Amino acid sequence: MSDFWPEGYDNPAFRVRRSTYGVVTGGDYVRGSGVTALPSTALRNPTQTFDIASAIGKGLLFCKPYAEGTEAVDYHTVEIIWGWPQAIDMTWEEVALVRSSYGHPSTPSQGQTVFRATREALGGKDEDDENIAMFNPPAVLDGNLPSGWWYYYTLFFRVTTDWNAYMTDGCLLPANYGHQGHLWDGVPPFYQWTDDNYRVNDGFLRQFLDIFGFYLDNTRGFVEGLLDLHHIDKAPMALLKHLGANYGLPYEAGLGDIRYRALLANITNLHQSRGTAKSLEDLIETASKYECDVVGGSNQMLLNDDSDFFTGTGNWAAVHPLTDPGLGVVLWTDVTLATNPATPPAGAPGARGVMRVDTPQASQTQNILITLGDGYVYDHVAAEALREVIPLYGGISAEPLETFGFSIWVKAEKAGTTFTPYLMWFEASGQPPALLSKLAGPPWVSDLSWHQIQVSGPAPAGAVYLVPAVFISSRQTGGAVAGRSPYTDFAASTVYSQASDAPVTTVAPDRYLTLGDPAEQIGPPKSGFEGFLMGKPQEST
Amino acid sequence: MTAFFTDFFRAQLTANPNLLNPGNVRVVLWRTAPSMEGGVAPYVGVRTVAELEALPGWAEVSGIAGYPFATRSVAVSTRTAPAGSPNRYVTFTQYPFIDMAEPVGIEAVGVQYIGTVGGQTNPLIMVTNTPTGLFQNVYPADALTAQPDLTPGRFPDATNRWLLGWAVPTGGAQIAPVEGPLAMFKGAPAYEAANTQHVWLYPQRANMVANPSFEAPGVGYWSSEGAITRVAGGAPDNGVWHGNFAGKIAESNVFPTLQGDMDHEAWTIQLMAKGTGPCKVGLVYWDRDYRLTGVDWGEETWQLQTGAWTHIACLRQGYQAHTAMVRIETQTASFKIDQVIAERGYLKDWPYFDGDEKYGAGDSYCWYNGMASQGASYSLWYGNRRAVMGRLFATDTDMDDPDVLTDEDVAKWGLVYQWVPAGVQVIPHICVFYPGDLRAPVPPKDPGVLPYYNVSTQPLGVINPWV
Repeated sequence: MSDFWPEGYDNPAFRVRRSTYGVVTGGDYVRGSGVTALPSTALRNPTQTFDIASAIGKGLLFCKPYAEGTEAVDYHTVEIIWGWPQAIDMTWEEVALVRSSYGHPSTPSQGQTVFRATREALGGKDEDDENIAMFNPPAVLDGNLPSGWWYYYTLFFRVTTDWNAYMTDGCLLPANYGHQGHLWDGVPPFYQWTDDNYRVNDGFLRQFLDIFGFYLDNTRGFVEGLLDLHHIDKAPMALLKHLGANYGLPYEAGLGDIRYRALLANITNLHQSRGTAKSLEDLIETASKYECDVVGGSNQMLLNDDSDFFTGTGNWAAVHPLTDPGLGVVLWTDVTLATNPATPPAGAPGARGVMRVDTPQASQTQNILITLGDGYVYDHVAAEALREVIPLYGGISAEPLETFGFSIWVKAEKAGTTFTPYLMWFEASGQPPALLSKLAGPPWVSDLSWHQIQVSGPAPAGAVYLVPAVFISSRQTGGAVAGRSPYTDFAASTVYSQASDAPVTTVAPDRYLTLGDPAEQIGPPKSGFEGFLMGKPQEST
Repeated sequence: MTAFFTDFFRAQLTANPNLLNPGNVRVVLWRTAPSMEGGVAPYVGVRTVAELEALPGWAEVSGIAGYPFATRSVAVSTRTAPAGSPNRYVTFTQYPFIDMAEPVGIEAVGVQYIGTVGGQTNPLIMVTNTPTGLFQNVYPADALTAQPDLTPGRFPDATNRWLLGWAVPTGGAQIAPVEGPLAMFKGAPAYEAANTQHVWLYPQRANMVANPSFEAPGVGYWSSEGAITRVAGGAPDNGVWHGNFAGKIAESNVFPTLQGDMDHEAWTIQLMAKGTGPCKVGLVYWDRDYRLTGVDWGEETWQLQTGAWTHIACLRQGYQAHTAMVRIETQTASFKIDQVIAERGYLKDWPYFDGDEKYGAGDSYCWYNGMASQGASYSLWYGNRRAVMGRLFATDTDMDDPDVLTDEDVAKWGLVYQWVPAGVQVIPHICVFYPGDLRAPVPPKDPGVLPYYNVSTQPLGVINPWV
């Protein structure tokens, strides 16, 4: 009898009897039997000790709940082993094993470092400081972990100064639901008494049942992982990836497990406010874990295409026929505005599109006034107006004395064309006839290159809407396209508030927090605004 | 907002009301300045810019090509408006910042008289934060100007922008000038598409101590009452350099507490120290008004050893702190420090890091203002920056058909483009602490250390931790 068998084995409490048909290599033993077991009947653990040699060079990482020898499984420790990957066998300088309970760490700083060592410390250097073959990698015990959670591990190797993720694995460290106790309670008292007589609370039968108890706990942990699928913090990562796809958010490898889990946890809130700056801020903070502020840009045009001509020409149109700018311009139905694949000006980094303007050859010498927010958007193929744009809806809000600037890049097919930028101010009605005044910027006579034209000035009294415009005069002839006038191109348009003459107010806020314009109160007219004190006692009625 | 005129200028103006008729003035810009909410009494007695900057909180713009505005002065003149009234106005058009090579963030503007008056060369006339607010970025295309005064009957013409004005006093009283309706004229911004969204991303951790491990810049950004030397070898964690202080006190650079839109009060300080006897570590801080010097020394006292590094880690609170610095004191001269970190929040168990740290993904650690400021700036950490930034903000500019944006196109772009209307551009800004952060270089540390507080002789001193 081997020394391995404890005292009392000669008279065991019970015997497991089973038939055997042939020998199984590497199978588990059946206690009391002199032969090895069958695959169909053997009680299997992966092994009592890891076969480390078989992992060497294979880049394997494996983790499992820790069990020491024949003792019961520890519900608070994970054991991790790995092999040295051949791909970087002689190049890495340092290794680190990092754990997280939310997903596989993407970087060494994304979890708790469980193990970290230099190549030298692991015997990977000879006396000449040259890299040599490594010792077997250590088996790492990660202890004192709360049970009932999944733990994910990533093994990182440092090559020069970069840490690279090479291997990942994760395992469930099940909660101890006490299944071993339930099994023990189901054993007849005689056998319990007999087992405890051999070794109190640690007899063979109890150890045997502990194994089944642990795997029942483990199975229940898996089952409850499914039940907890929508508990984003607890759902196993393997399931969470599929859950995210169901929510319309497929797995994001670039973000990594942990950030993806956080994003999924907040996805319903993000969807509710999608399209707003606040939602954009929330999305970025959730997905990146970087705090941030989202601030709107300085270009006050209403539509992206108003400025960028990337997917269209926005609200740009030849001037409305009911607006009289006093400039003498061609009829709006003659003017074609369309996006063009020409290259935007290099002087406006970030500009993505170009708007091309021309007319039929018959009107190629007439002046053009194109506006942003006062005209008809016209389909020249179907020869019909698609929509009317008026300052009320297409103009830019303005306050009297607020100074605005308007700039746009222009280019002409023929030199000698004159471009003049305008600021057109409209009254509160926002209708085309309500043109209040206009302000011209310095004209520019074109060569064949891109040039930025610009105008700025304060809004006059009574101005409510700003409509930027460009007046094209001294138009040339001899365009390359048959039947059409020479073209003019526009790009990178900007309207900005110079905020010069009314940006900083020295007037203190209303200390009573009154809202609205007192002059517009409904009720009997008052000569002035009569403030009220918060908390003022109500008069009896 | 608030402005003040120096007593010296008021006296000179009273003696000669035509001092600025005509005259030349120059503008001074301060990167940091007290908010002056608590009054201006401590400042009105100064005569020059230099005297003002000797007081806490005043730091003039530096390190910008073209500043100070050495050659640009603007002519002003004084007029009576309306004619025959006792009201005098010093009018001007604007003071352009065109000489500056790059933009700069400022908290106050000053106006200097160009010339010598009362024996003083280029005296300071006034200081104001009316046109700047608490903080503002100014660009070379901007200018200091005044809102046109449209008061009926006051100015009959367009010369109606006034820098300062006063009513002629009676009975020989001193002139009491007031500032004009000063404002900042903003030049044309660089082109950007309409509805562009700028995302200002703040670091997950930021070590605000410049030169935290005495690497690249020698002993810069530290001060002491004794000599400071940089010592090779013997640094903790196989480091190369550490700092040796011959005196008993070490002070770090003064750093801002702002991140996002709020000043942070909770701070964690960690360092490694060697020496003899007790050691105290404090957070010295000032609020926006710089009226008092606060310090949190905590309750702890560490006993340093000569033969081993002591890891010091503590939490400190700077109430309404707007700027702060680390101060380390011992009772025995000569001590060594290394790996100093001061960061927002309570992160006592987190390890030391600086911009050279590599334990993370590529580029997760960096120096504020880039590698050009290695060791001479704040250290920032953005975990897994490359991958996260790429997945969030990447754009596919080589789309086959840019006229039609489809969901498939957007899916190839960064995640943010699934959260904004079609066509909106989202521009990320990283390595910043607040919207519009221009990432100015960290100002150098003034030599010497703050004196101990004394109610009569050193009212702005720091509380002695040993008594």
